[in-house]
Amino acid sequence: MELIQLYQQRSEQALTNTRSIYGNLVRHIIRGILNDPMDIEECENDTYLSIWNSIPPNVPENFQAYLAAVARNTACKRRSYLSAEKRCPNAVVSLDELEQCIADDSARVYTDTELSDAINGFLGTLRPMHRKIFLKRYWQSMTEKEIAAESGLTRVNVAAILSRTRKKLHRYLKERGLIV
Amino acid sequence: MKRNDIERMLSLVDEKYIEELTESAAMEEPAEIEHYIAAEAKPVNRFRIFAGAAAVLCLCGAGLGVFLHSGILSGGREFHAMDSVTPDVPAETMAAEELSLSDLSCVEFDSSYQVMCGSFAPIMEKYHLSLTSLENGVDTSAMQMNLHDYRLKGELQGFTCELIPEGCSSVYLSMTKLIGVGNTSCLDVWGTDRRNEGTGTYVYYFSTGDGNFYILRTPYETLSPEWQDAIQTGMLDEIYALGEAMGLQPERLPDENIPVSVPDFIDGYYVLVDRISASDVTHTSSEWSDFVQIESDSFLNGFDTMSVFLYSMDDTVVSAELVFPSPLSSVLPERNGRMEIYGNIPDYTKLYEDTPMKYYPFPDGSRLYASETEANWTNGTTGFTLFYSGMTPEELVAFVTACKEHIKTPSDVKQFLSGNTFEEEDGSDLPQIHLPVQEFEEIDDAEINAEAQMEQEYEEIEN
Repeated sequence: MELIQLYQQRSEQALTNTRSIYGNLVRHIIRGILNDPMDIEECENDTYLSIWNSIPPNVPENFQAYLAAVARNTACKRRSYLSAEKRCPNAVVSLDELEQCIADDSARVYTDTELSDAINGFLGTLRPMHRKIFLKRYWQSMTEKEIAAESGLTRVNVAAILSRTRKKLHRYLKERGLIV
Repeated sequence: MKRNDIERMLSLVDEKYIEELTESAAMEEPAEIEHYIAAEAKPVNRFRIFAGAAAVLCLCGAGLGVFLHSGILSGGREFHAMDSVTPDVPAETMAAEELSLSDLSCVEFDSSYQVMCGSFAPIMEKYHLSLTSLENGVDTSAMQMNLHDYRLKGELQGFTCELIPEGCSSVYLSMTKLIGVGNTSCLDVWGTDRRNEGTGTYVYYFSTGDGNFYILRTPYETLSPEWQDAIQTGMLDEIYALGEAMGLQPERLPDENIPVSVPDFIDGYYVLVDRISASDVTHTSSEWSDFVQIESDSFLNGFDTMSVFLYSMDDTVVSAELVFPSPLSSVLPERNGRMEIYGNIPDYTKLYEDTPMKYYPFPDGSRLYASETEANWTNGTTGFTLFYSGMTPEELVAFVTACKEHIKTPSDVKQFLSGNTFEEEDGSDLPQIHLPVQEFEEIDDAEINAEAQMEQEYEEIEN
């Protein structure tokens, strides 16, 4: 039976199956953001709970992507409550990189639509390989080394791709007046 | 845009991209440290193994000529030719003085790029290379067939040659850069394959940010967990402290450019202290090398080369140089094998294919190519990659000479890289290489198949 159906039927088997099938994925994503094993475990459970609470009414077209997004957002929320030393340095560093590239002093308030259009529009301009590398680094908070190992590139190559992609993002946002 | 906005923005990534990401990602449980290091060696190995196979074939055909071709690294460009123009003289009888431009072998990827290679044995003879393989009881007859198992490391004066034990699937080096923040440190880890059951040697490079540069070599597995952890975290201070505790404190060389080419064994470890200084180029070391990046070129095989990219911390590249233990050194004796100012990163040509190439035209027609592609990719510093065009050896030497004449100070380089003096390159009028060629069709089928397979794999990676 499809996982979604199990959730819709409120079968707890849905959670068991989710953990069994996607546990690695969920932990992988959370580990990119959180550092402490206990936090990771709690966050993983929170993720499953969020999924349980959100399906239904939600019916994700792609459960894996949906789960990944929930896992990441849950981890990000948790991170904001944690002390600095318990945050995963990877996530901090990757966010720092982006911040250095596109942050400005503007007091502008962005709507979700603006931000969503910006990031997804930008991602749409990237070559698939570069998009994946960009997302692995900044969405998934993977290290350059991990990305290199996964992508079959050298770390230098990954770093260079990221650098160029950040520049592109800066240009993209600037051209659209989203950053100064 | 504030940090919170960036975080919000990232949380709004469309699911179709997440789907793309999660489908392709290997969401594995975290592995041990060594796994990551071993994994990192993989992509490099494949190229090296392939290039090594090419080198072996060439060795068989040309006697002592050694070169590589890495068409896969040329980004799918057509592989036109490769050639060995090494003299038909047995390596062991060839005197160092006989080395000349004709010793050079060239591999042409296309009209834009070439790599310079040359014969292996004369270099060894010329520079009195000592093969640790001999010390290790490895039959040197295996040298040619396993040429890619050797690692040559260029030094400012002379060379060292280090054997990576047979069975080590990591042919050359895999680099892990763990770079500290600010002007504190740079730690590069070159490692052989960790799956080599303890025989691999790891080479750790330290730059202290003051122009001094250290190398520590030791089998990784002999390191204590603290060391291994320190290497992973790149905490140079910690490493130094641990090094001191282990009696492995890197030594500091005097100001002269004196490389130490003979490793000293210390309690089972051997420590090679080295310094790569820019002081004899054009600058004082204080202007250079707030950190130094050493990169093992992944494209040259048979000879290992070491690209040394020097970065400044003021977001301006001052220069780069390439340590090049090839026969070119014989035509640049005053540089002791070091070629300056340009690098050659053919595998980057794919990566940077959408980056406009610029070049600085020298009066004699030589060109200094630059691709400003790496700005701010590590802790706010700026780097760049320089390419040289497809020049004949003679042109290349003239080019280097011109570089040496024209680039005297960091400001010269900065000016060259400022963009004002560069001309856009459309690739249409690149100089052609006119060297005797070995037609592609003449290459062994096995090599063609290997190339095709590697190209396919590379494309898969690309896709």
